[in-house]
Amino acid sequence: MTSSLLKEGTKYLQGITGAVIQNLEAVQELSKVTRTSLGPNGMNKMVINRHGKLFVTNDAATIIREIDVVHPAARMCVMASDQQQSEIGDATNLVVVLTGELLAQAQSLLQMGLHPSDVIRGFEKSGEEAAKILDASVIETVTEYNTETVARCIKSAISSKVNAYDNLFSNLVAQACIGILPDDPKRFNVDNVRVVKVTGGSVSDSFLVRGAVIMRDSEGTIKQANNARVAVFTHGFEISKTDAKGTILVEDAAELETYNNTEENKMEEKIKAIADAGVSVVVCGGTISEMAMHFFERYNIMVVKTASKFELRRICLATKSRGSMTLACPTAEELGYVDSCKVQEWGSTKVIVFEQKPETQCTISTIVLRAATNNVMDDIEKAIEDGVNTFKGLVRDGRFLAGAGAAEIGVASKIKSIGESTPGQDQYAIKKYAEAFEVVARILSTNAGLDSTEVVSKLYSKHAEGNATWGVDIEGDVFDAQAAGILDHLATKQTAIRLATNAAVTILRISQIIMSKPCDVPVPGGSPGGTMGSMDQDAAM
Amino acid sequence: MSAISMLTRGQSDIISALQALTYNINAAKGLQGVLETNLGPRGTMKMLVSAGGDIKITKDGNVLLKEMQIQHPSASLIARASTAQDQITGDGTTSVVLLIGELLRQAERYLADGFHPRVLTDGFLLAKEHCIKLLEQFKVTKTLDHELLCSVARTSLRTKVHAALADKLTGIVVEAVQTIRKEGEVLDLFMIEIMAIQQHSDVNSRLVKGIVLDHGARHPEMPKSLKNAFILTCNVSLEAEKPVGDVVEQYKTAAEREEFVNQERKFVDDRVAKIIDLKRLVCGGDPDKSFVIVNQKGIDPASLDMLAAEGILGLRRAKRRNMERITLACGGTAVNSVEDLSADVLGFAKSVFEQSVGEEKYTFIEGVDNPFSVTILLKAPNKYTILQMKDAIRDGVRAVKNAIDDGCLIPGAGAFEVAAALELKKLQETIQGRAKYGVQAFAEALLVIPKTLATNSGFDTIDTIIKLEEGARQHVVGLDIQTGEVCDPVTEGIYDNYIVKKHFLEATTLIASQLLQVDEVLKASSDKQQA
Repeated sequence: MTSSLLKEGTKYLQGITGAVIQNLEAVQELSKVTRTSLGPNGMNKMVINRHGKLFVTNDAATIIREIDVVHPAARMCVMASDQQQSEIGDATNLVVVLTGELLAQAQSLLQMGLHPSDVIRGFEKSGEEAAKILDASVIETVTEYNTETVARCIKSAISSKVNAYDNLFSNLVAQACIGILPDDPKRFNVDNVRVVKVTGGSVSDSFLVRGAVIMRDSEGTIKQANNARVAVFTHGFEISKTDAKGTILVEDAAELETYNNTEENKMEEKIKAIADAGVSVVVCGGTISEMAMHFFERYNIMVVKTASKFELRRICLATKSRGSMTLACPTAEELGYVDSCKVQEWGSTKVIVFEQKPETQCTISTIVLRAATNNVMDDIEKAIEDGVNTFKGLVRDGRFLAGAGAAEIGVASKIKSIGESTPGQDQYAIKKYAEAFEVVARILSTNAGLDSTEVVSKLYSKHAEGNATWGVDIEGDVFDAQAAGILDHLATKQTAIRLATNAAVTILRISQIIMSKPCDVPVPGGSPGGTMGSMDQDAAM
Repeated sequence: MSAISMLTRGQSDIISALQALTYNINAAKGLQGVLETNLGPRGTMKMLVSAGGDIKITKDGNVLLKEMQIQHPSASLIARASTAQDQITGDGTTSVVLLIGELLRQAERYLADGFHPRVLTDGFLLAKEHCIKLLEQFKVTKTLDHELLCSVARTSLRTKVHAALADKLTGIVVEAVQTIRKEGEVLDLFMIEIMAIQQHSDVNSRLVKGIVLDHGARHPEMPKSLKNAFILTCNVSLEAEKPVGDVVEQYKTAAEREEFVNQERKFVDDRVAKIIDLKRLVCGGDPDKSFVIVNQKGIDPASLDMLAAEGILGLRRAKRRNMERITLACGGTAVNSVEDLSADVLGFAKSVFEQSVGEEKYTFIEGVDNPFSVTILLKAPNKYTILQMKDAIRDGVRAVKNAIDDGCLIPGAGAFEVAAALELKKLQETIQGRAKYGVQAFAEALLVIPKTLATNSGFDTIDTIIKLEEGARQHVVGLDIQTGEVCDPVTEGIYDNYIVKKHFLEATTLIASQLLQVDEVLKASSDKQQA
């Protein structure tokens, strides 16, 4: 009856079986997609997005973004994971997997006949408890930032993406981050660790540059400058123009020639002033006129052009210079300095490298990534991003937990005992919430080809004996994660749990769904009804 | 079907007599069916998915009615009446739909017995008049202290968002209204700005006594955090502008051209210099004082450069609405020309700082002495929570405003409906004639509110109504949704707005009567069908 009230094509779903269970199942489907990608042994997914672009990745954020999830409840789970990405930048998969698992547990409770509001209450209560338990299970607090400690802390974030090269990259990232750490560590900016991808070579050839790398050639014939003063101009280097229409007033040929001469003199005057200030590298944010180029060459100045405002800003950061608006010679404060600036050729790519010596202070560092294919580089780039984000988390809050599923099993066993001592209907939900946390250990062991039930039960018994740092050893069996140096960042985990709980609870709160008829948006670059479209559907539903 | 079909073009639908009534009644019942699970703090959420795939999660009747595209004409009539209720009072939308549905449901029984609709509507009218009289006796007039306002806001908010969030928002909403309240003046709710940041969790929201602007400085060298800031609000273009009209500049040498370029630039530079002069005047050399300029027009990079060199924070392209708010929050006046610059036009704030969240930048102007404009800063991890909170805040603020405007409150938790139903039943005995049946139907229908509250909270409807009716014979009672027992809404702090209830009675009676008096539904064929 109700549906006849609404506009044609509108879907109206109601009640536990109609709306709630359907929502729960959708989210579980989604988490099934990403769960095999969790951890160092996680599998890659080949995702072809709606534009036909191919991704081979095990990064959950990418997978769920590119498969274009349409189911509204599953979309909420995607949003939670997006939020994790923007707040923390790591552990997006944990959010999806945990939400899926929580809802799987909730489903069994609802089918038992429990009212959703009781489940919600239990989940909320346990969510708060979980945060407290994690607070209490911190095993290491990092306050000093040396390469060795930092590399150890970010290793688990990186190894979950590129297991084979985790040592190399955790060291590179650690050095990159520490090298540019400002006096107040909390002001560390993740954008100042750049990644430049140059195809060719092998992954192990990747290295770190203290400074900026620009993927283009310099303008003139001068390709190198050492111990150079740098002048940065935010605009192009051309003759200035008036805002109003300008007309050159010439009456005869001689006047035209004088005019041209005055233009040339003016330009030379400017460039000479720059050269006199000791500048040997000029960076411009726009076109450089032929005439200017001529004088730059004459005064032996290396010229770098970049169209990107952000790149310009990075060069400023790397050389400690300030972009100048006008074409007048920059003041002493505006000028920057670079130890070495030269054009290099990597593979067949020409790049300009602004590099500072270790003793010169520098606010930007660049990791040069070498690999045979773009897919590999994209994946490593994400691993580096995760690592840098973990470092950001580390300087804000240096507390770490035992990794390898140890912290999750700890939460599971403690919440279970809380559930047992709770009176009322919500105790079932609390116990199920605890059970959901086993999922991490289960997936880690399944992905490593182990018997998950056996591993989980072993872990429980270890934790019951008081060995709260034991986790899953992906080489087989269980081990002490702390001793093995596998650490997880506390705030990352807490945020992931909070977001997952929040998403699960919100989805459980919904009792009716009213869906308007989706408008047909034409899919650019592919037929909407073709094989691609149906694949999206499969993945999303 | 009838002769009318000859009068119209194409195939028009005509439904008449009893069929038309059934058509309307079904629409009302259908809508009631959709909305009934919304009612009360334990009502459940609905998920709305728009054609574009955007998600909205709500249990606010008003939002729901607006978003779900209703096609049925009678249903959309009811929906419009209910949204009107929201526009006027800010609350009670769900109740309106429920009562209209229930009135028609009750009427259906009598119609089946052969009653003429007019008889019933007369009774409805009589009942309504009586209810309004009763409402006057029922209202509680107390001094509206902070606690009482909190009770009203909480009652309204709890029906929109989950309890923990509602309690958090209650404090924010009440404080916001109290801050902008000027004695003897009408409350202007537009002075409460809502700013949403997608970050952290919903309970991190707070009230900013000042302004939050959703943009930051566009110059990397500008200060990110300032103390004791003088604030200049202006609407002056600090951009190089093309001269008006056709101007041609003629030059013979590059030096002359350069001169022109400099002259053009100077025009803007002079303005900036004036602002810098003012800054030097008010701040002196004191490093603890600082200067902020908020400009409605643009500031070009060269001017930003000059300002940055002076340590001035320059914000450009501020929204028109914010300009007014800034002066209300921090004092000062907005100037339209650099000629008007003086120390008197400046506002003052203890702290101005910039915060970036992902790609977005926000500027907070806080610590002002006597703010008449405040910002509610909402934080939530996702869009749908932000939307939900925005809607809830709107209603919460309205509830507080209503309470202040009315100067009185009505005990909530279904107390009024139960008491009114009892009174009407007494009245019914004294009425002569056929109108008594209308009154009876109205009395029964009113009970839909406590009944639905009970159902949504998981209690037995019949038991609850019996308990409530028995309790109401002695004193004012409402339903305790946690225990299912009767409670005293006054001691529990559950209050509704007087105007909401009043409008609720007026609107429902009117719409229900109108729908009952329809005996023919004529629907012209749509143009599409003809084509």
